[in-house]
Amino acid sequence: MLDKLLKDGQTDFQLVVFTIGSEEYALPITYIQEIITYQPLTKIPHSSASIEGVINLRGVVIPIIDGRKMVDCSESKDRNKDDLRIIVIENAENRYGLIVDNVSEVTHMNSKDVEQPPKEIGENESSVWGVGKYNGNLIVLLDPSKIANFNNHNFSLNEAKEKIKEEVKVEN
Amino acid sequence: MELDQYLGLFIDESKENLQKLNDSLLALESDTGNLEILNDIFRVAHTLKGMSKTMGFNNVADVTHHMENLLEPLRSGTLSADTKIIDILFKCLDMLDSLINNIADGVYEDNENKEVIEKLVRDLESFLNPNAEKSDDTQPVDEKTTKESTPKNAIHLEDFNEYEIAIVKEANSSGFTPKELIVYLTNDCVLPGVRAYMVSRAVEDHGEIIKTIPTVEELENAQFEGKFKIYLLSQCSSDGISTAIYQISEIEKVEISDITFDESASADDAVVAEINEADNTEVEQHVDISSTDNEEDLIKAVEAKFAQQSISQTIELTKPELIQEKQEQMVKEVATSNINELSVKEEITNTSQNTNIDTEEEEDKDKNIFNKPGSASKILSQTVRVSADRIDQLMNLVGELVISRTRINQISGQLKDTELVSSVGLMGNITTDIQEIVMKLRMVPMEQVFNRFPRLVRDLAKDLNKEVNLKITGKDTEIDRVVIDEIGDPMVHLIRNSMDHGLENPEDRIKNGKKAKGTLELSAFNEGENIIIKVTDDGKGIDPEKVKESAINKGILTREAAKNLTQKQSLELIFAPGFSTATVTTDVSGRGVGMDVVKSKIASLGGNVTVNSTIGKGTTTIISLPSSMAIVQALLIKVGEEIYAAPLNYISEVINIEPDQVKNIQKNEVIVLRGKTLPLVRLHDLLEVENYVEDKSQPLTIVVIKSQNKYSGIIVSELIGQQEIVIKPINKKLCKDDYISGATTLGNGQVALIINVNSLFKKV
Repeated sequence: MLDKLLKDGQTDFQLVVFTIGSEEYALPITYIQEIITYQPLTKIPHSSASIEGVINLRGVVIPIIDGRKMVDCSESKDRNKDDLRIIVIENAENRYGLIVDNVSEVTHMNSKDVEQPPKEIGENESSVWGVGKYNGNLIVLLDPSKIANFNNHNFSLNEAKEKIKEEVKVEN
Repeated sequence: MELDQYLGLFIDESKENLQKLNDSLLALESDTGNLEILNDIFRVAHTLKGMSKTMGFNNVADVTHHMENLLEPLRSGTLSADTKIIDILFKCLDMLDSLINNIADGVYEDNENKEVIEKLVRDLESFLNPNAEKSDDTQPVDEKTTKESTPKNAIHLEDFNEYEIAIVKEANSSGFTPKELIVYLTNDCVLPGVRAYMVSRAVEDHGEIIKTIPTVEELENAQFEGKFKIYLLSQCSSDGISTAIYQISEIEKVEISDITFDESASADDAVVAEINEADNTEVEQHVDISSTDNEEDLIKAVEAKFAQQSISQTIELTKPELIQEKQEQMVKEVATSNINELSVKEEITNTSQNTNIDTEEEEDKDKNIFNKPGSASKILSQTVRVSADRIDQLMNLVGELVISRTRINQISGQLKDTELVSSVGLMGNITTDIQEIVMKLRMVPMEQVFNRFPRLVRDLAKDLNKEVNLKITGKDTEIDRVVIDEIGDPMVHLIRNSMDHGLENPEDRIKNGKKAKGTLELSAFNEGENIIIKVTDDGKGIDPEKVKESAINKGILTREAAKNLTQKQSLELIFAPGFSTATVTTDVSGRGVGMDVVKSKIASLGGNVTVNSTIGKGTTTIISLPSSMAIVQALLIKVGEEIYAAPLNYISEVINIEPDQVKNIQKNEVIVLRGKTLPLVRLHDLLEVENYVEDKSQPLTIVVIKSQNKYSGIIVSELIGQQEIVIKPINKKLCKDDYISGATTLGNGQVALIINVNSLFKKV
């Protein structure tokens, strides 16, 4: 993902920053179609665990992924559903929604502020394409084409995140 | 010219022409000597050649050109169409088809096929015996071209201004011949403007255009009907020019004549000549524009000579008057020219009667041809090609409209405002009309699928050494575009099966007391909300015992289970995966993937397939499909808190029963309904609905579903009602089981899933 962006000569990314649980995450803005408020979902029988259900987005039925389930967020405090947001993500193959707790801002980031994820995670399986340094915080950058891989969300994103953070700290 | 602009038209037309060629070749095969069919084929090849040359697709032009060369002796009877020739013509057709497809894919110069084409061309040439060595550039003589004539033709002076006349005179003296070209387009010409433009481009290569009637602008805007005239200064032969023009398709004929501009010198001769011509006209009684023009010329010439009047003044007179007047004058004047007055008068009166009739007709025609801007578009605007995407979008939006209408209906019902209710009602009617129209937009005739099959059947019959008579009925039956795209392959499977396993060899058929020629019948018709497609053969039929045996050998079922099967159930086994009865696997079929693929494909379209067979008599496969794929009537049901939709055509009734009526048979729940056992499915179990609470004291609501002849009951929490729903696709990856066939949106914007009723039967 990062490689591809760099190859295209892009060094400056525009990112949408959002929170799931207490962590901050970001997605490249070019993949985001829109951000909508929470809508009641229709559950799909026998679907994979990370799929929460489907919603009607102006006549098109799109699947919704729960961000908390995706990142193994253990915080179980009840969320007020009206405060939740759905980020509608569109990539080449799919259009889907990601439920997040809050969308905080749109920001720029330079590629030199982005660290690649550690090799152990293996970029192919991970939906993380890097960790960005931003305002003294670390933001996990998600890969929209990997999230949409509806079949497996078995990897532990938390684990990956911790590893990345450690490495980043070591380098600093 | 900008090719891209016409590329779509070119491809569509070519495909139509190829389809025509295909049909004609098939017809030719059964009737090899039929000159009419040969002419048809020739015409199509010629049209294709012309179109592709204009567009610069030389490969196509090359193949068609050589096809023409081969067709020419066939038409003239020096060669007879034997199977070899027909085969090679089919090969050409295939090549053209693939070339056109490549062009459609953006591959304009197909180098890969170059060698194949060259081989094809050599093969084509090998059929022409040595004495028929036509050099490549001699065009086969088209009957159209022979009509050409080159009499010196007096020109209508009033059509030209002085400047143009001066040019012509100058050109005359410097060795250029002024020519008049009258180009007639075919009646069904789609883009007359384009054709006219193409003609003028082609003509420009042969000389300088000095004038066109109507003007160039009018020509390009198609403001003419049927014919137009071009005046040209050229050193080329008329033959060359007409050949170039015939390269363009949709040209009916071209008349080329050399013209002169002498106003005075030869007028005397002209009169005599024209009078002679007038006699001829009378004798032949023919209604030909050129001859009427000559009549006119005659009058003009007479007028020029005797009346000494300015032509441009008389042109205001209506023609019958003009003719009347001139005729009288002429009679007078001619009489003074020592010609027998009586006879001439008589003759001319006769002529004038004819002329009057002719002229009136011609005048109408002339008016039509030159003075009716925009009338051509009347013919054009009957069909519009629209991309399928746009129709889908429209469909989607109309779907939303239907849903909104339902919602507004609900609200207005609650508000109880009479005015609101009536206007909402009106809106509802309009929406329904729009919906109906949009639904029809998606419908296409079955013809599109059926047209592929004559060729397929012919080729199969050849490969398998069988004789078959293909009957197709119900070509006009309309069916959803989505189905058309999908139904082709399953039908090919069925046809192959019938040809390979069903129909016997001619010898066997005669042995069994049947006609040597087998019959394969394809038919399509509407039955209620469904479309039925039948594939029937009068072959040897399917033996249920053999089917059972084969299924046991393949491990599809046990010997014990096989004993209990009825004949019908045994036949159904052919739809099992991995099943094939043919002892020898042939190229055509027998790999054991056929029927189950057919079955699953049809099921995915919401239909089903059954087979009837009588040993020795034949087999009928019946496909039943919903005629419309996008909007269906559905019953909305509640299971727990979730809302599901079930297509109404699968629902036979809804009943309420007390919970204690449910019996258990071998761990399966059943009820007895009117003396028949009805297996039950608890939908909340199957769909893993959360928070489902069953109130044991309340009666159970059971929806009885049917598919083919099977019935089953599904237990639901609540019925919501019947509603039109718009089927929307959902990501297949989302539902691992096929319990869900799609989704729809409800009036409140919520999504309801559509139950795949067929899948529920598997669970019973």
